[in-house]
Amino acid sequence: MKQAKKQSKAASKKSGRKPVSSSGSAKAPDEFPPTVRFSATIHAREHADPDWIEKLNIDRIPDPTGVIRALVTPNDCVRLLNQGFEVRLHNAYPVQPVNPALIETDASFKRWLDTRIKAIKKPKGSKAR
Amino acid sequence: MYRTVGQLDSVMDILATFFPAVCTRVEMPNRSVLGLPIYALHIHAGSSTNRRSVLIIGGMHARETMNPDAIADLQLDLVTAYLNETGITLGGRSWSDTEIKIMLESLDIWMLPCANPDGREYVLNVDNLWRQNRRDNPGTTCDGVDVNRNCDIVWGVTTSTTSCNPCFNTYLGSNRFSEPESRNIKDFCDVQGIDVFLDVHSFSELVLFPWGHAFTQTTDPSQNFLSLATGTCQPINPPGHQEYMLPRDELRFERVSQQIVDDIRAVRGRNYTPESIRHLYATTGTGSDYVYSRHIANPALRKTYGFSFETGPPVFNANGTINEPESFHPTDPTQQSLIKRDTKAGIISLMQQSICGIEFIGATLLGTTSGLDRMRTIRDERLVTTKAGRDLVGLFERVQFPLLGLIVSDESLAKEAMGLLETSLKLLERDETVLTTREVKRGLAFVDSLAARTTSKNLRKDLTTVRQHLEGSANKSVGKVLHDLLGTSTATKKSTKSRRKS
Repeated sequence: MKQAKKQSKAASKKSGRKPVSSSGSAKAPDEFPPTVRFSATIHAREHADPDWIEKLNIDRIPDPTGVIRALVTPNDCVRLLNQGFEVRLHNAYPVQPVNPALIETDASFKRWLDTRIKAIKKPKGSKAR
Repeated sequence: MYRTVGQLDSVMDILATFFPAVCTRVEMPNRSVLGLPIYALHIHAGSSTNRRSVLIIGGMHARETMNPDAIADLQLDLVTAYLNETGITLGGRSWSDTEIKIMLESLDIWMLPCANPDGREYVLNVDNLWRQNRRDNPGTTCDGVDVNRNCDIVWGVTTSTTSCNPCFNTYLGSNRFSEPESRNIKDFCDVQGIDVFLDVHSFSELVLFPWGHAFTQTTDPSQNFLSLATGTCQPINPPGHQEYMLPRDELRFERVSQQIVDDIRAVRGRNYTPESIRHLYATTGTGSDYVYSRHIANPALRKTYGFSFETGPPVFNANGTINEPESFHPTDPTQQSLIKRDTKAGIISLMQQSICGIEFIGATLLGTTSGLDRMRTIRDERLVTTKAGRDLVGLFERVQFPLLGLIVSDESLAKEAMGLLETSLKLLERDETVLTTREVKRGLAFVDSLAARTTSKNLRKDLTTVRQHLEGSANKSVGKVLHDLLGTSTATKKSTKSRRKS
């Protein structure tokens, strides 16, 4: 976790922004970047324009059941509600990095690559390892 | 496990350093918004020239973390299989050493695992659901452009998933190709000339092809994207626009996608769905639509068939809703490995289908491809005009690669294939030329030789269909034979039905 925070700070420094807390607190909804996203479904109210879906401008997630699903920020929620859509929130995801335990360390990567490369027969003329 | 950008680059660096006869690492024309170099691996075994080129890219959308790893794994798999002469096995689907050799010696394969390195670093270190690049959008507090909405195809037309607002996740950028990550596609196609393009995304288990901005129609060429207003920040106008595609191209997209789906299913039974992008949802400015549109916008450019994958299934929570983080980057290493295997099978399938068997025999064995244009014209202007003709084109595309494997690994078959190709090219020069009994017998003997060497029931059935057509061709003119082929669909239909059952 320490490593994650360090990486987060480094990347945030690179992007010129303050580090984002994984708890998703302390940011007003109109600020960027968001501190939380929601898995949402968006529904038209009665008498919707037939092309209502094309006006959503959302980060759509394919949904096998055919509903309009998206990852939305608090800003998106406000906007979509103001546009007259109904937004149902299903899950909340605080902004956070990929779990560091899922990221290959340089040491294990090197071991893996060495093993793979050593298993390849060297053609004539290639550099010996 | 997910690899860092540096680690992905190292795979290409090491492969290029140790196996320069097979691969070269190349830097793409443009660095990322934050200045990182973007690398691709060029895999090119053997010495033949005038190859077809395939470009495979991953990681355009930063949060789709598995695909760059799958592409890096496949780089190693291909080089290993070629140099060790071992072939590749992915679950229940195998490609022999001969098949891998044909692919690597007849194609220029360019693999760009991480097209958006700034985005990937941000996902690994800050925000696991970040989609875009890391552009600082001027005049706003917001960052990021969706690089797969930034290409010059109906750019600036909004959809449910394309926005002109720089604070939205699907922001299309300040101008067409304003982003170096998407401009790399254009610049690379301009310089290298690409025949087949694949953009690997996640998730939903789909094999997608153009068009994305509208549903496809094949009857009215005047309805095409060149007449649409762009840069409007409005939905497509006229509403309900349907985009034209040549029937031959639609057939090709559908058949290639179906074969990819079949090959992925053979790995472990996952059922990917082939469809046009628009069936998923409307998009503008995507890479795969752009590359296919290039030859229409400028007929001097090479035609590039553009595909995209959506790899991996949606993962559901206990309450039945989709768990997006888990779907984009599964935590279970076994699940990661299984999805990557499916992805690699799909990519190999596409590479395999990028080879034209006849062109390969002509270029590699005969040393010439002259005369092949006449064959293409007959295919594109005559055979595709009827159901029976389209079935025959499909049959040919289905059997050509397995037959090529047999032919290349058997000297006597290769010699006979060269002779028959020469004879066929001469015969096809004029519709009035009559096929002699001797020529037909020679063709039948070749078909029988192929059938005797294969263990595949499906391949034998397809060869039986070819035999049936050939048997009745003696003493007929080429024009009459083609006419019969266009109207005779019974045998082909039966064959297709049997294949589906098995």
